Amino acid sequence: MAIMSETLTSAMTPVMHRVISNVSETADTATLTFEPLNDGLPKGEWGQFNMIWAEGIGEAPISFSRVPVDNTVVHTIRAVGSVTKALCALRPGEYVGLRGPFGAGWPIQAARGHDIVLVAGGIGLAPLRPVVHEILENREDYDKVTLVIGARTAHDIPFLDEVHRWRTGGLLKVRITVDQDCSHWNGNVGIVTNELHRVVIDDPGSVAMICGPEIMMRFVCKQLEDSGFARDNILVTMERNMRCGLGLCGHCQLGAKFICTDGPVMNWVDAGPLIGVREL
Amino acid sequence: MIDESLLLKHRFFRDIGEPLLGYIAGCAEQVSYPADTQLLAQGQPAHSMLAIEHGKVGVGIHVPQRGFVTIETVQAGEIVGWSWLFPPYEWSFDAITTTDVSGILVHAQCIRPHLNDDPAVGLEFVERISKVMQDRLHSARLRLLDMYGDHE
Ligand SMILES: Cc1cc2nc3c(=O)[nH]c(=O)nc-3n(C[C@H](O)[C@H](O)[C@H](O)COP(=O)(O)OP(=O)(O)OC[C@H]3O[C@@H](n4cnc5c(N)ncnc54)[C@H](O)[C@@H]3O)c2cc1C
Repeated sequence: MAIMSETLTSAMTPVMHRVISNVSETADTATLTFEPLNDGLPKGEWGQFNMIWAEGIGEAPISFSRVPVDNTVVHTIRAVGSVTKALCALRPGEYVGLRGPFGAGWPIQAARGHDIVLVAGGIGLAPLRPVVHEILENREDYDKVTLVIGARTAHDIPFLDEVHRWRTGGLLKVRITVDQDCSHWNGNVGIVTNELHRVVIDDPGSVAMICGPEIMMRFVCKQLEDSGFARDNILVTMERNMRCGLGLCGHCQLGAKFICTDGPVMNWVDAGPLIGVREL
Repeated sequence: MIDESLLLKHRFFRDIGEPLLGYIAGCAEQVSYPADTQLLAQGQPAHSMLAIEHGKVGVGIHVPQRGFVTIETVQAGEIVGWSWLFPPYEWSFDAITTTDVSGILVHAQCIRPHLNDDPAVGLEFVERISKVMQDRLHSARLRLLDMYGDHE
């Protein structure tokens, strides 16, 4: 009992980190890199998240936007409310508390040898970015890879330079579409499901990983199912308000699942029946 | 007049049966346009339908002070233009090629009498067009939701 409460206390205690850079991605989104003041946290994996604490304001769950390679930690954050606005406003030299890593990530290695379709909506590209890095580092392990990006406008696409490098690098097919045209945009205009419709899928073992607004994921998953994807090969990352990150407080409960421990990455067999239920 | 086998390669015409296939082939020609060609102009007579084989077309509208604003990009395997099916037979939007485009152009004046004279043929064609319209309506509705926006 004493050991359990010690483990619990340490999992609930933020580890102080210093901001070493804050790079603006879009008008409301920034990528922050943190380094620990002392010992860092255990290294996180693709799709996992940390709870980031903005002093005096609160905590928010934020996915890794790069899998840690050294002791630095990289997160990409969209300023939507009090905590995320405070985090995006941090300057180098300022401090945050981090807890984690938490949750079940993308089972990317299980997709080896297969076609992969990644679908990212807006800030949803951040949790998928480490998956792209893994694929590019081990490109020969995967078959055809397509990344479909949807955003409200071209100004809302994070990592634009990097996306451009992926696109021109020829190692994966990148398809981008925006909901609304704006000046200097020469690319596609239309809903993300239309763009997905144009992806030729012929491997019955194809794996899809989707991250974006829940309503987008619902329509994308339905379309993937209709086009022959097995439900357990469709993976989504779920978002619910979270508090403890440990499956104890129940804030993120979705049916019988806790998003913080059973997720955030779940397959469509588990997430599908829950995602459209109004009461959940 | 084009070969029926060419039509069948295009997603819109796939599985189409006789006699409709023959009528369409008799009213169609292969076309190509360089990038930046205006294919349709709002308010002008709607005279044809383009089934895109290669390239992209932006369907949109000229907005004062903004120029041409694309509402939807239409690509290979898809079609542009159905206003020729409904009075007053005028385009509702503009369409401009955003890349070099090639495709199959079906002439309205030639195909319309076939669709009117044989209700079964007319229904088969309208069902295909309706599916395209359903997809575009679905897409427009999802975009109205502004999925990626703030939801305060
Ligand atoms: C596992 C997980 C990973 C996440 N990864 C990222 C990430 O990498 N980058 C990023 O920018 N955001 C991410 N989020 C979302 C982020 O946690 C929320 O935006 C944040 O908690 C909002 O807190 P706030 O105090 O800034 O806003 P609040 O004031 O709490 O809320 C502002 C608005 O955001 C909505 N909101 C609040 N929390 C969430 C939530 N968890 N999910 C969806 N909408 C919410 C509220 O309904 C409200 O409309 C993730 C969420 C989860 C659960």
